[in-house]
Amino acid sequence: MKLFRYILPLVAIAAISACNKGEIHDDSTVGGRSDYYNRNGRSYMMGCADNLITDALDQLEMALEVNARGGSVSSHFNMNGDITSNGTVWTVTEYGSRLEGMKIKKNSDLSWTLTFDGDYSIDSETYPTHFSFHVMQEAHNAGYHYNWKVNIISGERVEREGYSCQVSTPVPLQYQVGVGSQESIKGWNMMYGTLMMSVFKSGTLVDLCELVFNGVPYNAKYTRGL
Amino acid sequence: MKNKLCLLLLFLALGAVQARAQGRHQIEVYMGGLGAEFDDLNLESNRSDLFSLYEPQTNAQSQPVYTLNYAYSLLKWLRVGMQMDYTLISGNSWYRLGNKPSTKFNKNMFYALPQVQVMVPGLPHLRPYARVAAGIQVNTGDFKGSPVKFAFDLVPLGIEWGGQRVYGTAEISYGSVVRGGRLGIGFRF
Repeated sequence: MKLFRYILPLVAIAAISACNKGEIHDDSTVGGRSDYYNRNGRSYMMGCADNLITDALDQLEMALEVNARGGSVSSHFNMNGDITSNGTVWTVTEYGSRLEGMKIKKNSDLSWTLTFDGDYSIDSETYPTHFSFHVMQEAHNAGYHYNWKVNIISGERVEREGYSCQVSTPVPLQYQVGVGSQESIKGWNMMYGTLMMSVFKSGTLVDLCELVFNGVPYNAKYTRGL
Repeated sequence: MKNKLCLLLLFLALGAVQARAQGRHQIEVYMGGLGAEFDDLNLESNRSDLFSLYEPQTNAQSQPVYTLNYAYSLLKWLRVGMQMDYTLISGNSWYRLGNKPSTKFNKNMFYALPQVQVMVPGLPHLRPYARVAAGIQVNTGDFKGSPVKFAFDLVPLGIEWGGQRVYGTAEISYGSVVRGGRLGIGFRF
């Protein structure tokens, strides 16, 4: 019993001292290379464009698919007529799309206007997001996806601690389905054009970045501090 | 190694006190899990947004939380006392974007928390308890914000095991001091 009384506290101390030290290791250990820093900025901007533009295009293509199948009832959309007819407006109602409430409006030509004003969720974070895109349908490629020409009328995401960003395009972005894979970037594995991003902190412009797409999304050229 | 030596010396010193055991006073020495502030820092480093891109990030190491606890038995089931804690977070701050140089930092955190401990009926050699403590946290070194903050420590369940004079302790802890738990040794005199 004495062993029980006196040895156990010593064992406890030895055990805790052996294992108790915390560290946060992150990728800063490779810091010092300028391309590394650029990669972080490019990755964020690419992700933001992915969240805003490609998710919206994905919803539009889903709407066209539902429409083509003659579906009069869908749990994914609040439908009001034929989405390929001038003036028709559908609303995304699926929560899992992350764009619940996005409106899809058919214009007079072969284009649609996509508008969203709500919270966009990524993991446990929600970002108040607003956008309005004018998207023009181009040649219908094989499979599920179309080629699109995207013009950003407005696009803004608000984040924590007073940070926000606005995106714009000096010339429309082209999302094209490439030959072969239709999986990358949700099917558009060829992208061309220039995406601009203004970064604000508490309403003050702190950075202006540019992402020039040259066909392959994740090889886009990133420049900041313009 | 230095930590182990200090604990061994403390253990020997308290062993001397044990010889004069009377029974109403108790001193305990703990090593705790990671500090609550370090835990928050860890969560922060996993985020990916504009704040984490444009504000300095932290690459940190944390010492465990050391605790020295004194308590006096008012009643058989009720103890009051004071706990003192210390921990250190050190590391460097750096930027994810732009080639700004990183800077080193050391943040010392001292805690002083009056406490109330309630003993729960148990076995002679396994004595459960619960404890609540609230007081202040004092920061020194490199930090942002106020040097003095409110701090609290909740122990919903702890266990003393061993004899009445020398015993081991293990407790679950939550609050602004330690997240997780502590292990330690105690002496009653």
